[in-house]
Amino acid sequence: MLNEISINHCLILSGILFSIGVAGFLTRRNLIAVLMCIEIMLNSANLLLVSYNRFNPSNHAGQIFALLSIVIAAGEAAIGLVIAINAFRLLGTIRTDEIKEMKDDA
Amino acid sequence: MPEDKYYPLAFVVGLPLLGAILNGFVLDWLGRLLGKKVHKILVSRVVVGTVAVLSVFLSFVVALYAVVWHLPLVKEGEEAPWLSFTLWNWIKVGGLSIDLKLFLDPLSAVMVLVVTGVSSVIHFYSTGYMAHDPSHRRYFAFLNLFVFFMVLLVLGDSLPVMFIGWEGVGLCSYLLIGFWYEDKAKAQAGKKAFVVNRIGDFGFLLGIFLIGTVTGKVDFHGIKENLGMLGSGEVLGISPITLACLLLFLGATGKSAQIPLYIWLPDAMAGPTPVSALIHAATMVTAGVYMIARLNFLYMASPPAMAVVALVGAGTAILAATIGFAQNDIKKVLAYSTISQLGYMFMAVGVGAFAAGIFHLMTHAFFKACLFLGAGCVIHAMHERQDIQEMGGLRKKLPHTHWTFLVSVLAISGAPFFSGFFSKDEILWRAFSANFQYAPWVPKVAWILGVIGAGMTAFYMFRLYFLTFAGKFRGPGELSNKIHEPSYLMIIPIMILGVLAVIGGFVGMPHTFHLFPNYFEHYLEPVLAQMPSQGGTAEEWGVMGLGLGTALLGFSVAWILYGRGPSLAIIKITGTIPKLYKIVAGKFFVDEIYGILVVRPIGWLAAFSHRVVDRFIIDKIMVEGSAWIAGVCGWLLRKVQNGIIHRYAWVMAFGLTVFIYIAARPMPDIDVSVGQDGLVEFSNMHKHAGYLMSWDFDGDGKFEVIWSEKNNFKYKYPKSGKWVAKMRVRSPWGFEREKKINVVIDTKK
Repeated sequence: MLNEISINHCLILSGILFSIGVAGFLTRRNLIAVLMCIEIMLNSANLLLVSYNRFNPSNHAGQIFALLSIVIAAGEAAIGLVIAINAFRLLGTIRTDEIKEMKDDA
Repeated sequence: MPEDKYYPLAFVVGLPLLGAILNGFVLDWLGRLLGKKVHKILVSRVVVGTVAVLSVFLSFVVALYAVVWHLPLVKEGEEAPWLSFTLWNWIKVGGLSIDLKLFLDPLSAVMVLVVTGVSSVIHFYSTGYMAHDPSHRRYFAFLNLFVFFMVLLVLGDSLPVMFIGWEGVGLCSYLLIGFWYEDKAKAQAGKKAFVVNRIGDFGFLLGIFLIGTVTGKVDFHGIKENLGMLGSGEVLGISPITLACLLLFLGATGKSAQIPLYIWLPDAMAGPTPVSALIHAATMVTAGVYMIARLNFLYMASPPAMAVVALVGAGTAILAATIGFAQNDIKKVLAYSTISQLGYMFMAVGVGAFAAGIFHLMTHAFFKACLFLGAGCVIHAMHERQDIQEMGGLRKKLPHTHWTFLVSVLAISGAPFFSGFFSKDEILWRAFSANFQYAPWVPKVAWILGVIGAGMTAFYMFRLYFLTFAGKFRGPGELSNKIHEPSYLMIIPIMILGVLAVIGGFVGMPHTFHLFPNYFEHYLEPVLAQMPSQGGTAEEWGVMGLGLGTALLGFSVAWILYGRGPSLAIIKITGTIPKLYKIVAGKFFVDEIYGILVVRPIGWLAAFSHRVVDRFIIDKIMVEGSAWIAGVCGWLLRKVQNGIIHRYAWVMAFGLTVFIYIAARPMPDIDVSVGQDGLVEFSNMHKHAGYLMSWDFDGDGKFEVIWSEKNNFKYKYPKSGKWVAKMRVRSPWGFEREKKINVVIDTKK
């Protein structure tokens, strides 16, 4: 059984990836790194979808959802990067703790 | 033979109200509508005065017409016939139905004539007295409103209608005492009158409630019919009839200034003098006497209440007369005299001589109104000075005022053949001869106090007269030449009242004189009860002589001491007993005692309500507290919404964690159905995939079922009773929850 990959392995890997994503998302101050962490979380979810599909392949819903999710993630990443670039142009920084434009300075 | 559609009664009540409305605002509105010139005419003293006087005088004329029309219906020894007019049904709740109904019988006939008659005269006088006051329109509006309420009080057919009038006259009294409200002392006097009256009114209201609760009726005829209901049973340890009488009498002590609530009347002299004459001498303050006379059947059924009324009346008569000895304000002397005379009236009704009480009420209205109006002329002439120590010798300067004043002083002192003589003598005789089974000593004590009081009355009234009119002028010299009689607007009224003060008593001449029959008593006989009396003609002459003798004594003392202004003797007397004099002049310090015993504790209560309840609990805790809570919430939310994105992310992560925890928790909801013979089914658990359950059905700590995947469990309890089943649920993630279920088994069922 050792050489066979079970659902539990997939779940654990997905969980580890998600945790790494969350930890990075919460701790990193660099906007690019934060975006990367979000991608990692998304991909952990995608991994979960395809692995469920592997163990229950009746209609390939998991794979279809994963593809959909990847496409959307690509678009989202593009927008995220654009925001990062514009934030850098506008504010001269992409550190999240220095960007406080959402708060009224009053 | 009652007639229920006697329209004139509505006019008697309505005309003064119309006058009040016209003077109150209609004239002003109309004037504003029609331009400045018309406005000036409409609110001029001529128009306003005419409206005020006419409305009351017409009311008097209509009342007179009604009384004359009613006169042939009154027959001696028959049930009182009455005329009435129902305006509308006022209150209808359950079995209680109160009509706003006016009614006229001999008693209210006398009252309504006295009220509207004296009011007309005093309104006329007021047009002269208030001529130079800028607020004369307000004055006449209040005065007319007062007459309206007073007539309503007198003509009301039930206690609640009487109570409207009762409260209304109190309101007008307050408004008119504080008429010159810019003067703080005068405004305070109005407030005092109102507050003291509230205490009495509270008793009056409780009395009405008690009578209404016990008999189910509040109109006078209904109460009379159901009188038996009040006689039986107990309320607070005494019979309801006595309690009701005493509560109503408390109201009377407030309105009619008797012990213990008389303290407001001397201060009420702050109002304009015609107001003192009308409200605080002739009409309103006699409302209490009228109320007791109206309810004479009720009071006759309660000897203890009668005794209280008689003793309080006699006590007040003496106390107020004593205080009157040492007062130097012309109006204050008259005020204490009024209290004292009201005491006589209560003494009369207290010993069952209701007709005599009403008779004295009427004669007193004449001579006391005359005295007050005379005092008004004096004050006018003295340029608003009221201290009799500064007067003297006004006899020649104010001849008309002097004559009417003297006549009234003779009347109140009980000089033979003046009106006060007949009424006071009637009261003293009735008190002496009353056959009061309950406590025979009460009328006798009242009589002795009354005789002493008669002497005292003569003394202080002649003291007032001598100090004001006799001797030499003691005021400032430059004033001496300016003193002159007021205009005829003021002289004619006091002459009318002066004539009435002389002849008003002839309608009620005692039987002993054999000149006329006692018309007054015969007229009132169908309405008013009479205490049985004993005693012959000789005794009646004796009582009369004794009363006359004490009055003569009082007069002589006053003449010796004050005949030519304050004599050396009186200065010597007051000098030898300075402390006693100070106590009497200080009105026995009753105001101060009340101040300490009543006003101060209430002040503390008010301060407590103000500082603790209002300032602290309401303002600080509730108002500022709620603002503070909102502020703190805002402060906390501001900390959260700080614009730093990764903090938002932390909050989001935390929130999601909590949400997932709550969503992933096992939910131990289960249906329990108890079947026959202790068989219980636990079913329909809200069970998700992978949930496991353990069961300890009988609550003994040992689990009968351990981590089963089933959703339905059955268990048969061995015996009836209360059981506690314990259930544990475990989700696939390892969360566990426990729930206790109470099961009641009754196998016998």
